[in-house]
Formats: sequence, C-alpha cells, structure tokens
Amino acid sequence: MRVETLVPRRGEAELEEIAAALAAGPSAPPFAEELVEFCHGISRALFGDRRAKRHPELVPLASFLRRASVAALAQEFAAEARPDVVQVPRGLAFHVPPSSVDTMFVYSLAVSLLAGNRNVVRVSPRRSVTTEVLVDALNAAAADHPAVAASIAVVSYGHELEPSALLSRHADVRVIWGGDATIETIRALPLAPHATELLFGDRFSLAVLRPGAEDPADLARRLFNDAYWFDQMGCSSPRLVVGVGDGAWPALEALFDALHGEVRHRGYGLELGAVLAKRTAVYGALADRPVRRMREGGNELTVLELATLDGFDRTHPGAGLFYAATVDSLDALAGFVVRKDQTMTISGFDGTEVASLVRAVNGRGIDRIVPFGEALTFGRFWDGYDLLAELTRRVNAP
Amino acid sequence: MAEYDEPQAGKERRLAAELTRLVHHHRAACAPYRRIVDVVAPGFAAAAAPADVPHLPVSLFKTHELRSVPRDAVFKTLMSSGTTGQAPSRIYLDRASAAAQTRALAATMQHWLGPRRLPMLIADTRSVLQDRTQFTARGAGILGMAPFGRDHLYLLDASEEERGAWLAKHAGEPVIVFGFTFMVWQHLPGGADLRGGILIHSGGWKALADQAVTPEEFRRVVAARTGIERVHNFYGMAEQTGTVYVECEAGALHAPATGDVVVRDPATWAPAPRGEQGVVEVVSTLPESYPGHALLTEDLGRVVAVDDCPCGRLGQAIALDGRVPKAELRGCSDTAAAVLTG
Repeated sequence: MRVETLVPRRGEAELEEIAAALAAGPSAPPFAEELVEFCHGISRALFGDRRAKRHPELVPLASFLRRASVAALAQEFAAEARPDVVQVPRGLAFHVPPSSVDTMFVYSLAVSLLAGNRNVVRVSPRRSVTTEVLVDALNAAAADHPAVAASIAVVSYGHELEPSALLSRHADVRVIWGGDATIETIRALPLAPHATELLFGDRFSLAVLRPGAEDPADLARRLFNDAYWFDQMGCSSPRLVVGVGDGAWPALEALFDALHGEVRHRGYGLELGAVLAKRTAVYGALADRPVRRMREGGNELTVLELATLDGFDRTHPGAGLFYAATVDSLDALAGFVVRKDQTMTISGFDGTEVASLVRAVNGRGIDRIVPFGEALTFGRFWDGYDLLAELTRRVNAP
Repeated sequence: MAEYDEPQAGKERRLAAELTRLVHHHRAACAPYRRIVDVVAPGFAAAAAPADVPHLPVSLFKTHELRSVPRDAVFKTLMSSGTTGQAPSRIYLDRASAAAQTRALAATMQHWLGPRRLPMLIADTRSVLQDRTQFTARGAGILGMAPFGRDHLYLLDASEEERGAWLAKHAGEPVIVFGFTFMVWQHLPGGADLRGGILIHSGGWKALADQAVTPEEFRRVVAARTGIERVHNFYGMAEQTGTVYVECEAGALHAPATGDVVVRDPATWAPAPRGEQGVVEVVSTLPESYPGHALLTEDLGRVVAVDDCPCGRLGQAIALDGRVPKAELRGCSDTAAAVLTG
C-alpha cells in the first residue's frame, strides 16, 4: 500500500518496501558514535531554524538531542552495564506518537534510535507547523548521515488500520503514545510473538506547593510552561494545583494572580471554539462538583476552587482550567492518588517528605515528581518505564 | 400583544422581569442550576436587562440532565440532532411548557403566514417522523410546522402523478412550502407554478455555504424554479423550541415577543456594540420545566436593527455569520484515536 513518507525524505512509497528495507537494514550498537552525531544534527537544525523560535517547546527537545546531553545519557547507560550481559537493540520499533504533542514523536524516535533500533513512525496527515519543522530537522540530519537515515522512516497515513497492521507484524517493539482509545484500537493489531509493547495511556498531572518556599511570580513563569505549552493537554501538564498547610489559599490566589499576568505577558490565546468547549466543561463542573468559588483571568485562565478533593473527577478539557484545593499535609495526598496520576510538580518540599509520600502511595499512581517548570522535561524514565531498558535486549554472555 | 410591535427598551424591561422570575424558579427547582448560578452570579437578585441574566452554554444540555420538574411530570423529551458523533441535547418538557411552545410558535407563524391554514408542501419524507428512535431536528421541525398548513404533500414520497394532481388541485391558490434549507435546495423541483406562495425554511446554511450558495442566490433560484417571492428563513434551537427568529423582507432575523438575543463580545463576554460580530446568546420566557431561558449558543451573529429595521418591525433583529469553528487542542489524548478508528 502506498503511503506518504516524510523522513528520510518527503515523497511517497510502498509501505511493504519500507518495512522490508528497515527489517533488513543496517543497525548500530546502542549509543554508537554515528547515532549520537545524528541526534546532534537534529539539534543543530532545530536551533538554526528561524521558525522554531516561535515554538518554545522545541528548545528543550533541541537541548535533549545535543551531543553533551546524549553523551551523559550514554554514560549512565554504560555505567549500569554488567560484565556478563551485553545490551543490544530490540530490532525494529514501530512508534505511534500523539498527533498533537508534536515533539513527542522525536523524543520517542530518538531514544529508540540511540538504543540502536531501526524505527518507523506513523504521524497523522493533519500536521502542525511544529511537526513540519521537526520533519525538516530530521531530514537535514538524514542528509548528513545516510547510514543512520537508512534505519529511520517517518510515514503518514489517515483513517485506515491496514498500514498499522502491516507495521505491527514487522515490529519487534511497538510504542503507542496517547489516548486510551488509540491504545485499544492499535493493541488489537497482532504483533510477532516475541515482540514487546510500550503503552502510554491518558494520564492526569498535578502541582503541589507549600506556601512561602518560592516567589509566586517565578513559580507562575514555570507553571505557565508546564501547563500552557500544549494547551494543558499534555499528559504531564498540571490541571490541579494543591496548596499544603497554613496559608494555602492565599498562596494559591497569589500564584494564579501571577499566572494571569504571565498568560497576558506571553500573549497566549485560545481559539473561540476551545473557549466555548472549556465554558461548557466549566459549567458542567459547577453543576457537579463542590466548587466554592470561580476566578477567571480572561478566557485563558479559569480557576475553580474546590471545597474538598473527595470524589475528585479527573476529566478535564485543557485550555487553561485549573482546579485548586488545599490539604493539611503532603501525606494527606497519599489517599488521593490513583493509577492515572502521572506527574507531580512540586515546590517547597524536601526529599524526605517526597520519598515518604511515594512510599505511602506504594505504586498506586504518580510516576514522576519534578520541580515546577519541569513537567514537560522528557527523560528516560517515563510513565513508570525505563525506556532505554525497555528498548534494548540483554544477552547473557558470561 | 402582537409579535413585533413592542419597542426594544420596554421589551427588555418586560423580559428582564420574566427572566428574573425564571432564574429564581429554576434555582429553587433544579439543583445543578442552583449550584451553577450560586458560583457565576452569587447573590443574584434581579436582572435589569436580559444581558444581566446568568446564562448556560447550550451544549450543557448534551452532557447534563437539567430538569425543573419531577421526572414523572415529563410529558416529552426533545432531542436535538447534535453534530455527528456527539450526544444529543435532552430537553424535558411538561405539558404546560409544551403547550406554551406551541402557542408561541403559532403567534409568530400567524404573523408571517396569515390566519388561514394554506395547503402545505413539505420538502421531505414522512419517514423522518416515523422513526422515533432517531427523532431528529428535521422531524421535530416538520411536526412543529405542519399544523400551520393543511392537505400536506411530502415531496419526497409523492409520485410524479400525485404531485401533478396536488398542484392542479391547488392551482391559483397560495400555498406554503416548508423544509430544511438544504432539503429545499436539493428537492424543490422546477416547473411547478407556486406564484403567491410562501417558503419557510430553517436548519442552517452550513450545507449550502459549503456549496457557496448565498441567501440571495437561494432566493433567486427558488423564485426561478417556482415563482415564490416570499422566502423566510428562521433561526431557532431545540433547546428553546417555540421561540423562533424569522427572516423579514430585508433579510434580518427578528426576535419574537417571547425572546431576544444578546450578542456577546467573546473577549469580555459583555454585550457587543450594535453591528459588531459576537457569540449569540438567546433568551426565552418559555422554558419552565428546564433551565433553558438564557443560553449561550455556538453561533456567531450581529445585531442589525433595533426598532429601525426597514421592514418596519420593532425590537431587535440579527444576522447570523455561521458557527464558531470547532477547535483542536494539542495534547497527548488528542491522538491518532479518531483517525485510526474512523
């Protein structure tokens, strides 16, 4: 079947041929020099692309791909090696990234590539400007590194399941990012018996702060990046902000006042359709939930203060809606956390307190705890997986 | 009171008083409505103008069961079509509310159609009425309009001979043609002489706008096909059945006695100055059994006349500029799902 190809060059090709070429294609050991240089090439292309300046979410990606940062990851990987085990790539990885957290497809691809895998990525035919910038950057790196380019294909197709079925049959590992519905659909397509699968379903994320630890304006700047870069629709974008201990409500109020200023300062705007969809969700929340007060900062910021977190419903429309609540202590959140909870961005807590909360939750939820401003910072540990470990095989060779 | 005889200032005072009563009534009778109003308009006492009345987003009726009468007093439930893939709105009517809708619609339609019931041609098929499980806006529209005509002929069901016989029988008589805008456009045949007739149509321009058919082109083609010069579009929604906005000779949609519009500036949500585009809010004094008296729609429009429409009717009239386009947010959850399951 014929599909649109984006990387290593734009055009059209038979998907069977792409899959066969990748399956027989060259592969390199994890963190081979040429792989590191290829990632650095993407990074250079991104930093050099004038269009990228309008998309601040590309900066952390470009930094992640730099030689120095990849080298640090390689060192970590090497340090964990055992003398009796050789780590090798899994083979062909089939990635289905979210169509709208644009940068995710490159993170997913890059980590897998650095582990030495060959990769095929499916992206939606409806592509954002950011995705086009990313495709161009990948192609620039591909032109300089033809050997690595031969182990990558980014293809684009629409509604049909057949191309995904074909790629699934060839894959040694399948990586599905995104909504529970996508996972359900693609998971039904058979994989080879030896193949493994990494699944990243719908998640919910929250921010927790203790009053007084940090300056509200500074916190707001970082919260803006965490929440607004992907219209608050990233899995790690905070949607609930919890204040802990004495003075929690005034601290939340100060934070959201500062956030309103930040939203205006950055000139963030929503399309009217998104504003109306959010209003419907907000009014629905007012009808159903224990909201004690609503505060609005234009259409872009809506804060619903909850009288209690009991029975909290994690459905959320994105688009700058924050639930706010207070608890007496960090430990009080242990009972609140559920499996769906992914990232907790924190301010004002020490390592002991955080570790105590993680132990109290004991795996029922929360896969990342990071400072404000790092909610979207990608890393090898994601949704409870160690991606580098999952994307390699261990050969026992004593 | 006649439909369009009331100057806007007085009408606003009358509506504000009636809507104020409805806010208190629904606050007492519908718990989710009370929780909403207590947050968005804490301490609400009285509205000086319709714009001061707390409103609900119209889509809330798709996601929430909003009723101000006990379940066993519900006489019928209206379902709006909704866009494909979306849950329909559910509107709960008791007998009194249903009767009030019928009376209000009759008062409006008599103004445009006259007191006599004329022979009626319906640009649709009877089967849209029969399948109650898929009761659509089209079915509801036909059921609502049919009583204003007699000797109904359903165009899509009639054979060539039946149509010929019906036209011969009513030759020289004024007739009413009713149908959804795109159904009229597709199915109203040429060659029938319906001079002196009246065409009433509704259901939105989207399908025709996609084919680049303007209201002017629509009128011209209808006149060329049938000789009908009196063409009236109307605007209304299932969530406020009975309160409809009919297009006058000057092309403006006029608010009836039971309702009005507030065009809101989407940046501030304050009423927009006359002539400026905004999001249309509709108010109606009819809804007693559900809190639908003030609804923010997803339509864009402008106030084009206040007591000064060239047609001579008083009150406000609007022009519509289409639907607010659905927005696509970014994010993890908005994935290939739709694409891959589609």
